[in-house]
Amino acid sequence: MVMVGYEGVRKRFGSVEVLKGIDLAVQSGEFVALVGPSGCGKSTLLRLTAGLDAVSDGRVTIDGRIANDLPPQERDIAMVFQSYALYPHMTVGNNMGFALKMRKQPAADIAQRVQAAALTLGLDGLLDRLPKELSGGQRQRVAMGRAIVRAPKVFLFDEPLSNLDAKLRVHTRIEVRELHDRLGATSIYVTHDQVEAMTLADRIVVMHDGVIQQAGPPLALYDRPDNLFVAGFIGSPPMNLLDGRIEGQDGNSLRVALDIGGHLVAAASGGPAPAGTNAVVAGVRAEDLRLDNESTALQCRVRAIEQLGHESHVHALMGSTTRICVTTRERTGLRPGDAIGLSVAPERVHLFDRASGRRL
Amino acid sequence: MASFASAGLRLAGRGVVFGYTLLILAPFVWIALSSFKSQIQILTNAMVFEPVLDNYIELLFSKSASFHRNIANSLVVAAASTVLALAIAASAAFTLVRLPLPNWLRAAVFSWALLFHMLPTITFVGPWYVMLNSVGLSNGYVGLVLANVTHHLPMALWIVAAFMRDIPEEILDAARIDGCDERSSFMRIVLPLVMPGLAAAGALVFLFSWNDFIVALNLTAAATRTAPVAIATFAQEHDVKYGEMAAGAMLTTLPALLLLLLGQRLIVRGLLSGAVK
Amino acid sequence: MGRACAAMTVLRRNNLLWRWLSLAPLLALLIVFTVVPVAGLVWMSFHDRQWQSGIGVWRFVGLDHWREFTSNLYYWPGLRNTVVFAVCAVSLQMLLGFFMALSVSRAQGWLRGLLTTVFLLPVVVPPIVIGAMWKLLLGTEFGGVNAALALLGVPAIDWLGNPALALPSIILVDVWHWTPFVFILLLAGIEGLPQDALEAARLDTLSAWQSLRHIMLPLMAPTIAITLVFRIILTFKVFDEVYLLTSGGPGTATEVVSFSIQRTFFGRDDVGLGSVMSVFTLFVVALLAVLAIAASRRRRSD
Repeated sequence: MVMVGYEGVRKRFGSVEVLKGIDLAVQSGEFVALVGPSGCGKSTLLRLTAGLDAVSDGRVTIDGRIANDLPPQERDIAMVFQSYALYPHMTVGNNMGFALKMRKQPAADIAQRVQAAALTLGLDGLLDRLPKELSGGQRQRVAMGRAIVRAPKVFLFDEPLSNLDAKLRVHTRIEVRELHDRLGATSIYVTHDQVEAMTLADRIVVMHDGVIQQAGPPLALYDRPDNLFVAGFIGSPPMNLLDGRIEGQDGNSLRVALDIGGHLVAAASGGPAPAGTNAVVAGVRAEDLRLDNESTALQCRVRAIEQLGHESHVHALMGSTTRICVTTRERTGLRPGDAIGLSVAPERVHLFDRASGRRL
Repeated sequence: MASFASAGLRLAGRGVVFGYTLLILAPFVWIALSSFKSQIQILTNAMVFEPVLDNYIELLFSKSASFHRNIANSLVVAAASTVLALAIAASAAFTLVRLPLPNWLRAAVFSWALLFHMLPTITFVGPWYVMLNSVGLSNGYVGLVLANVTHHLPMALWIVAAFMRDIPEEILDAARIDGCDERSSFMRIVLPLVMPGLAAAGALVFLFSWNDFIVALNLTAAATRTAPVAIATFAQEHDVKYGEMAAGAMLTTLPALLLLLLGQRLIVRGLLSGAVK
Repeated sequence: MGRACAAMTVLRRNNLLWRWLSLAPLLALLIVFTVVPVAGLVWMSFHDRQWQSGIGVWRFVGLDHWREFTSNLYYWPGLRNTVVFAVCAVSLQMLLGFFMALSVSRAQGWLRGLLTTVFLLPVVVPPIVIGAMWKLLLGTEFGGVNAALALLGVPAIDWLGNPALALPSIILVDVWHWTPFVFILLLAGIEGLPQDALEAARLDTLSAWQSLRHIMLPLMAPTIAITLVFRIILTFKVFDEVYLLTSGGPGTATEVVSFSIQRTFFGRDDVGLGSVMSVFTLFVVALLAVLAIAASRRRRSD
C-alpha cells in the first residue's frame, strides 16, 4: 500500500526550478533513501513532504490523502533534523512529549510513551536534563525519540547523522535501521552519503538536478546503473569511465575501441544498439579490473598505491591523462612507475550511450 | 595583540582614560556631597562640613513634601510603559521577523521606527498634547504612558527583533511539525528563548522612561508630575534650592545606579544592538 | 475529508488572528502617535487657536505663521547654534572616544569591567540630573569648577552667564555626557575587526601610524561614519541640559531648536508658530536622517 506518493511534483523558487517532475511511490513500511549531491533537490522534496514548503505543481499524497494543502501540523509525520532542532529551554522529557502535549493527550499517557521511547534509546536517565547538557550523540537520540513518541505515519530524516563523528555514525545508523524495523515505520531518509544509503535503504532514489536518476534496491543500482550519473555516484571508489566507440558485434560480444587506445569486449545486453550512434562510455568498477599480462590487456602506468590493509587501491594512468583505479585484495608489490596491463570480464563492462548517458 | 599607537602614545591614552574616569566621577561626587549640605554650606562652597540630612527630610517627609509622590509617579509610569512596550514589541517583532509577511510591510515598519527615533521628540510632544487635551487625557497617567511607549518602541523593537532573528529556523519548523500554530509557537517556543532580549529591552525602556524629561514636562500636571520634572522646578525657582535639587537628583538616579550595578551586561547588549542603528 | 477541511481552516484562521493581534497595537500606536501628529502639525501651522471661555477655537490663517516664522528672532539663531553644537560636540566626542578606545582595546580583567561601569554612568543617568550636576559645578559664585580654579589662583569665570562662554560650556557638558558612549561603541567596533588582518598589518607596515592609517581606519570607516552621522542627527534632540543650565540664554547664545519649539509651543501657547517650527525642523532632520540611512544601507551592502 502506498504511504507517500509523489505525482509530477515540481517546485520553483522564484524563477529557478528545483524539482522538475518527481514521480515516486513509497510503500508502507519501506525505508527509502534519497541521495544525491548538494542542490539535487532531495532536501526540498523532504520539506515538501513535511509541508514546510508548498508544492508548485503536482501532488503529494500521504496515506491516500492529497496533502498539498495540509499544513505540517496536520500531516501526522515526524522529522529528525540535521541539527536536531531540540527546544533549548525544555528538558529532554518535555522535548519528547511536546507534540503529544500540543495534541492534548492526557499527561499520564504522554509520560508513559516518553518513558518507553527513552528506554528504547537508552535515554531514561536523562529525561530531566536540558539539551545543552548532552553530548552530540545523546542529542541525536533525543531528536529520534521525539519522532518515535509521536508514532506517526511517516518518519522523515534530514541527514540526521552528518553532525556525528565517523565511528558514532556507523554505530547509530544500525540503530536507525533497527528502530525502523521494530516500529514497522515508513521512513524517508535524505543523505548525501551513498554508503549510508546503501546500508540503510530498502530502496535508493538517486537524484540529480531536480530529477530522479534511478530508483531501486541498493544492489540493483550497484550492479545495473541506468545512466552515467548513477554509475559514477554509487560505489566507492567511483566506477572508471572510458570514452570509446563500438566497432562491431560478434555474436553476444560487442567490441569497443577506446579513444585512449586499446580495446574492450563487452557482453551485449540483448537489446538492439541505439541506431545511428556508436559513441559510448564504457564503465568498469575498480574491483572488476584484473592485472593481466596478455597483449590484449589495456596498458597503463602506476601512479600511486594506497594500502588500506584489507585491500589495495592501485591508481594508474592510461595514456597521459586518463585515470584508472583498480582495487585488489592482494598485497601487491607494484610501485609507482611500473607498467601494468588490465583486463576485465565482458559481463562486468557497463556501456552507456555517450550523448544521452543512458545504459545500452 | 595588535597595537596601533606607539607605546608612549598608548600610555598617554591610558592616562587620558584614567583622567576621564575621574572626570566622570567628579560631578557625581560633587552633587552627592551637595545633597548633604545645607543651603548656606553650598553657597559658601564649604569643603569641610558636617553632613546634614535636611534636604532629604525636606523632600520626602516634611509637611509640604511632594517628592515622594513624584518618585511614585515615576515608578508607575516607567513600570507601565515597560510592560506595555515589551508586550507590543515582543509579539510584533516575532510576526515581523519570523512569519511570512509582505516585504514592504516589514521594511516600512522598521524604516519608520528608525526615522522616528531620530526625529526631535519635542516636535511630537506638541501635537501629542493637543490630541490628548482634546480627549481629556493630557495630564494623566494614560497619556504619558502611551507617549512613553511610542517614544521607546523603536528601540525595544530592534533589540527584541535582533534576538528573534537568532532563533534557528529548524526549531520553528520542528514546532510546526509538532503541532504549533503561530500563536503557540510564539508563546511556548519563541518567548522563552528570547527572555534575555526582553530583559535587555525592558531594562532600557524602564530606564529611559524613568529618565524622561521632555515628554513628562509637558504631559503632566502637579499631581502626576514625575521626579525629573520636579527637579527642574527646584532649579527654576527664584531662590534656587540647590540642596534639595541635589538630593532630588540623587534619588532620581537610584534606578540607573541599581541597573548599572546589577545588570550592566544587559544594558551594554541593549545599547549595542539598539543604539547604533 | 470534511473534517480535514474544517481543521485546516481553523489553523489558518487562528494564524490570521494572531498576525492581526500581534501587529495591530504596534501599527495603531505608530499611526496614532507618529503619523497623525505630523499631519496635525501641518494642519496647525495654517491655523490659529484662541481660547473662548476655556475652549479652544481654531481659525484658518493661511501662511501668516509661516511669514512670522521667517523673521522669528529665536529660531534662526537656534538653528545656527544647534548646527555649531552638533558639529563641535560630535567631533570632539569622536576624537576623544576613538583615542581612548584605541588605548584600551584588548585590555582584560576587572579593570575593564570597572571601566565599562564608570563609562556607562553618563549614559544611564537622567539627563536632567546631568543638568543639575553641572549647574552646581558651573555656578559663578560657588560652582565646583570655579572653586577648583580658585585654588590655582584663577579668578571666577562666568561660564553660563557670559554669552561668549555659554555655548562652549554647554558643548563641553554634552561632550562630557556622550564621549563615554562613543567610546563604548568604537571599542566594540575595534574589537570586532578581523584579528588576522590586523596581525598581518603589523608585519607589513613600518610604523604604528602607518598601520593605523592604511589598515585600521579604512576597516573602521563604516562604524565611524555611521556613529558620526547618527550622533550628529541625535544632537538635534538636545534639550534637558539646556533647559536646566541656561534656558537658552544669555540672550540667544545657547538657544537650540528643541528649546525654541518648547518655549513657543508651550511657553507662549503659540501653537501655530510652534507647529511651523516643528514642521520645518522635522523636514530638515528627516532629510538628513533619510540620507544617512540610505548611505549606511548602501555601504553595508558593499
